[in-house]
Amino acid sequence: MPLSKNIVAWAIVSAVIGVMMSVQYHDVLLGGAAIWSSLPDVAGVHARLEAVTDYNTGLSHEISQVDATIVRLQNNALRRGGSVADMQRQINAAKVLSGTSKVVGEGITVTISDGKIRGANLQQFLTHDWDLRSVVNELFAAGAQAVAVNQARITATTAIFCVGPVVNIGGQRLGSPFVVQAIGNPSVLYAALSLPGGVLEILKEANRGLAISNLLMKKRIVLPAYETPLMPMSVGGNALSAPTK
Amino acid sequence: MVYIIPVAGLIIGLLVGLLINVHLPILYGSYLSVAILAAFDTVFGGLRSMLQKRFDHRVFLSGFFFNTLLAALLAFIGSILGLDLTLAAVVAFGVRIFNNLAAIRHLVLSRQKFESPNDRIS
Repeated sequence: MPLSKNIVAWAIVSAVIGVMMSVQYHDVLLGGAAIWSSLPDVAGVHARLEAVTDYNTGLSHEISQVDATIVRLQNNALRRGGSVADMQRQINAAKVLSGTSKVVGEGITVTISDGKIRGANLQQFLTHDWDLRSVVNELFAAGAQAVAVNQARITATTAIFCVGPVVNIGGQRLGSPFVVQAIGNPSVLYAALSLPGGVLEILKEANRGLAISNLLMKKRIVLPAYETPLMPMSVGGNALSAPTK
Repeated sequence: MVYIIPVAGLIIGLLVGLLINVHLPILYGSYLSVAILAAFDTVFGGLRSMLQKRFDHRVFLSGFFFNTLLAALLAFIGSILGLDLTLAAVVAFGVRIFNNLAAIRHLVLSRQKFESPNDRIS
């Protein structure tokens, strides 16, 4: 029966074309699809965005692979000994000094928080840049090997200054409470900060309402590595385009 | 009336497409557009060949799926190469659809006028 076969063929074709048309209708309703849509660039821009995202993902995979290879080679060099190992030790020491690597060690922490307004001068109850700067300076003067405030590691080029309501430390914007962590000889650092007439006592006795926690000596403190804060348009800087590690 | 079956198929297809609520990624929208155009071309070609009594369901089915997939594939290759081959497909299939429509019109009119359908086209 050729007619019934023809009819079956027509039925299949019309069903498929019906599905195609209604799916397309859905997409046109959404405003996408369609060759002649009013925003023909959307698909192109979307494709480009996806391509760039994929490319970046690939690059960051590559970076982590290369990093892993570097660490493996460094460990190999250390194990093998000789002048390469010496150099590697110097590099590690330099990294600790420059703040570009995570460090672990014993040390102390102190937390400084903004006070509450209790008739005090509005300007005075906030934690200011000079408060943190004096604490950080005192810690370094007492022989701290590494200092960080919250997640901002203090390096040789880290500036501490107030920007509006927050304190900008090395480009990172930090708010109260400020957890100052230092790695070094705990008892020396403790003594330096709790000195009668020292920086903390001056802050406490200035009657500004700042909340200053007790000094805590800790066996294990982990300080983060210095990180370039990620900001829009930050790629333009010369210092950022140099290799960081 | 046996021709109800294809109409029912069309309605079922439309309903299925509307109810399953499938959304193509925006990238593939233009491929589906071109595929629909190719499908229309095949459907009108099939109508014409039925009027000419030359209809073959194998040619029809294979032409439908082959043309549809080929059109989408061509558009896809074009998008990879940065060529807008969807435009070429729109023009080519558009011309063919209108040719087929004209042929169908002539066939219908001439069948009413004369008893024997002649094979004049366009």
